[in-house]
Amino acid sequence: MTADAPLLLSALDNRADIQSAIEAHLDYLSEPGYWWTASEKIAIAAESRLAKHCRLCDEKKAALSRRSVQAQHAPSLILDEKIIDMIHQIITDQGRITRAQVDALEKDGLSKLAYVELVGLVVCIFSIDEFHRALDLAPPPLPQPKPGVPSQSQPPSLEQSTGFVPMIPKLGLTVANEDLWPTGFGANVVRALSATPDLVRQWKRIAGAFYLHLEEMGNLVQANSRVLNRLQMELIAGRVSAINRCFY
Amino acid sequence: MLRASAHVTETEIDLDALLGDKTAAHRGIVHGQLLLSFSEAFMSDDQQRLASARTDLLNATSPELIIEAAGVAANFQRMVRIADATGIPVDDMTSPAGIAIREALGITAFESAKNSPSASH
Repeated sequence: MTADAPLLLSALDNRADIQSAIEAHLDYLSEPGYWWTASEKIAIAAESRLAKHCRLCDEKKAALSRRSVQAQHAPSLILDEKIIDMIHQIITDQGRITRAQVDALEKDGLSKLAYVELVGLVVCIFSIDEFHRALDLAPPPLPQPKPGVPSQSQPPSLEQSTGFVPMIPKLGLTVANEDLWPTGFGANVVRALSATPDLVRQWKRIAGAFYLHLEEMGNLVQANSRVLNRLQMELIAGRVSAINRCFY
Repeated sequence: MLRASAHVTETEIDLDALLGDKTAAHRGIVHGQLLLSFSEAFMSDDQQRLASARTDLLNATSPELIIEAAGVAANFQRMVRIADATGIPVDDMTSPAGIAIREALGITAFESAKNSPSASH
């Protein structure tokens, strides 16, 4: 840890919302999901952590075509090699993910719904880990898996007309998932993981602690709960997104 | 959102800050240069550079602000990956403000522009 660490840890102690969002996500990881067991969810999170420093991913990202690099990631006892490769690509080369890849995974047995859950699990733990890295703090340990089987449940009204995956239509919220977005909102990025509603809830809770709650987004001056004003926040957000080559 | 915030607060800013121009970051944004340096150091994955940028920012501001800056940076590591992994298009490709900003920043060359068809022709 750096010399600044005690000051930062003390400030973090005063952010109960951040700590509870992280703890809630780790608890969520320990439970069986929609399409993945708890062991599989934790394996996905563990693989996400490996991707950040993966030399093979550096090689694949530098290649004109990822397929031209024949080497494979280290095998896992729990996850298929194609799933491992996708986890790594979501972390290290997300801009080149294509519909054809997601369709090919489906033909290989990974349903679109399980893929959506996979994406949600990867991005949530990655965001949590990146927060810790930004502060030079160790990432939180992953939990132990709880027994049980995936629920295999899905929202009743999914459409497949936006992007690569099924999602709830903008006006298609039901009583069970009416908390996912405010009436009339439903931006594509909020709907993207809605085939697995708990993953939307997870990332929204993390986003509410790390950045802003959806309900605060309309305040373009400064949220009452924040030291950073909105201009400062959006400078960070915009520069990180530009370096990530984020078109959205 | 940066431009929208500048509009609402009637602040003159320079969007070249989003392209890494430190002089531009200074315009209208308190601690803009330090926040930009922190963001870029974070994205560089060079932990020494990040530590240095974080200390510079801390010396000028507060630990509470550093926690928030880390949170915002980490948040936007997630959002781009949700968008690109699910292939979602930009919600409204026709708004004049959106068109102007995409052209100004030259982001139609990004790989994921392919998911918003009218951007990639």
